[in-house]
Amino acid sequence: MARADASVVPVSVRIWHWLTAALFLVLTLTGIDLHFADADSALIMDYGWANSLHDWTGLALSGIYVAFLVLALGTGYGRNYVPEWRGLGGEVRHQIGVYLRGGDPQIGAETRFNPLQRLSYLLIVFGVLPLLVVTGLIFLYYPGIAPQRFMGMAGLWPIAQGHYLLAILGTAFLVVHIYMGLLGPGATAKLKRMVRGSSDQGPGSHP
Amino acid sequence: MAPVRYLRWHTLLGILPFPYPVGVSPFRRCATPLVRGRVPPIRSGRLSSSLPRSTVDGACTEPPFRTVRRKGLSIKGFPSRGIALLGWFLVGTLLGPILAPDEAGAGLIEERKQRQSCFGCHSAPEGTTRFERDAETGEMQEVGIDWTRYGHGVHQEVECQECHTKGFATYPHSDKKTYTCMGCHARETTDNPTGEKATGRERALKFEEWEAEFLDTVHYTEHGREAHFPQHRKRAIDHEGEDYFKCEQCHDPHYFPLAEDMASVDEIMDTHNRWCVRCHSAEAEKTLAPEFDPRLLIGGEAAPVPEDLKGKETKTPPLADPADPSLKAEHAYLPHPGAHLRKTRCIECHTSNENPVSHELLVENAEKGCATCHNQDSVLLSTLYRHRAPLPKIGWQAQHSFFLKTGYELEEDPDGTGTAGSPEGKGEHPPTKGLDRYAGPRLGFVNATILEDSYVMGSTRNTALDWLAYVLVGVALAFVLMHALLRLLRGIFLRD
Repeated sequence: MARADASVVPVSVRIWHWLTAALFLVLTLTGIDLHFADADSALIMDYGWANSLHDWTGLALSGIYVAFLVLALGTGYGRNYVPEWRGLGGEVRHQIGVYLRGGDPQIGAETRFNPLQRLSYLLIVFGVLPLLVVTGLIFLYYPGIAPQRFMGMAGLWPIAQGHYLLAILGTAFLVVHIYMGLLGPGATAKLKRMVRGSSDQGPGSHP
Repeated sequence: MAPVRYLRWHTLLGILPFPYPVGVSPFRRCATPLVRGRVPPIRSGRLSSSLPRSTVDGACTEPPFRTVRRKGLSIKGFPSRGIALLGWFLVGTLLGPILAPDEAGAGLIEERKQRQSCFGCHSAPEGTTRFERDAETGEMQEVGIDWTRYGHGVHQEVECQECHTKGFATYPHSDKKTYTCMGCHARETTDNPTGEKATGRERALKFEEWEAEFLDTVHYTEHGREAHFPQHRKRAIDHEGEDYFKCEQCHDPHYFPLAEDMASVDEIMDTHNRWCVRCHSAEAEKTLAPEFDPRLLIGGEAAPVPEDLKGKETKTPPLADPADPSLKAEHAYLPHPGAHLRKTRCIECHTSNENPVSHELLVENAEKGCATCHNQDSVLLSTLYRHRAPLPKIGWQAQHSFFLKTGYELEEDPDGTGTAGSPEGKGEHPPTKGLDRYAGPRLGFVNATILEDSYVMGSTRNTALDWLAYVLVGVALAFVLMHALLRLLRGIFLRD
């Protein structure tokens, strides 16, 4: 994505990003093992190990997420996620049109994310992730919060299925996000940007 | 003879169903029935013309009000209606006990009369107890029976003297003989369950097998009859009054309830776990002593070894392992040990999974894996939930519906025993005796039987959400692959 000003990704954001990525990946893999359990063979690892790992990793992610919230809301970084609601539909349509024609959408200097990015990142970072954390914590520590019975069955199932549904959305996002991270000019430009802060192509050029 | 005439006439009124058509209140002061709008005609011979009459608006005009009587009878139908009412009341009172439905274990039904002769001395409703002095030994013995509980137990149809077979027909009881478990149950075969005493159940209960399994367990080898009285023949059961670990420790013959008769899984869990937790818990040491014979705690801290039993201490104090320091600590290798202890029975892991009713005690080789329960073919379906599966009355549509599957195919009596089929051939599934539960599909959940009671990770998946997962992630992957392919084709990677 072209930027008039190749703004540097702050260190804290980069640390948060990679920590979250790693933890989320572990959570997804262990979660698959827990959900699609089979008596005869484990999909990825032993069920008990997967359970313990999922629990501890989830707790770590919860802590890191809280730290990110403090960061985002405290420093104003969170403003990057808020889309321009007015005319959003038109902007998104325009952006998709540009992609379909094979071009790059030009975005302004002050913005880090293009409109589609803003929208999707907002939904993931401030929608899916916190709800995953909350449902996971209820599952783990506070199952009493869930109703005793819900629609004739044990009351924990909406929490459990909500957690699973959000995980599905997160996994689908993960797949697309990883791929798009490899879409920079050259396979690693965006990766370098997220590791080093900026790509080594200087200001004013494609990051 | 006027009263007789009244009685004859009004007795007919007495047999009409309540409420009586009231036009006359026996307590009214006026002599005549009060009829709005008209003055009732005077019937000759019935009413004296000297009696006051009511006025048109229905109020008595005779001041002051006073009781008006004619030869002792002032009101039409009174007191004959009252007599008729009283008569029916008495009849109802007398007939009631005869016609009332009989409660299990009580009542005047002929077959149950035998136990009633025992009621008088041996009745101890819930919360009470009863002690009598034994005529032969002079010792005080607890002899109370809670008859309501008895009526819900597995032996509810069995009369007292079918087991307490000798010496109990008369009082004082002497030369007593009581059958213990194997006395009746040792002769079971498939054709003749429970020996000569057929219960109507079609599968034989394998008491000989269970006794053999029990004799191998530490409960017998260290706390059973042979451990305490080595001179006796090796059998699980006993002479009356001797205290050591035997069948009755867990299976109280008076009150033992069948799991298939219990209404809920929580009740099954509570009942079965209570037998284990009586000894195997950190709190047991404080509570066991009054209820339990201290000889069973030989070597433990709860009671010092009695003099006559010194030298016969068991090798391991009964509460030291595995409940030391606590059940939860012993099971700490499990993720969420508290949840496991609360929601499963001890015997799920500490007996064999091969046989749903096993008396093998697994200690070192107890089930420690996770996936035996936490998967779609959960072994819980043939153990804790075996009396709730398969769901009865499930329709063809729900069985075969892609969306509405409950994880089983219901087979119609596959092995000819009159029981519904078992999923994946695991264990036995006795018919769910008249349990009236909703048996329909449950929002696409697999193993809705289990989900009815608790959510078990890995076992209670939802087919619809699973398919959503496949579709969403599949679409994402497909997009990614397609995009990459297009880029490859356009040579984007070679540009710039």
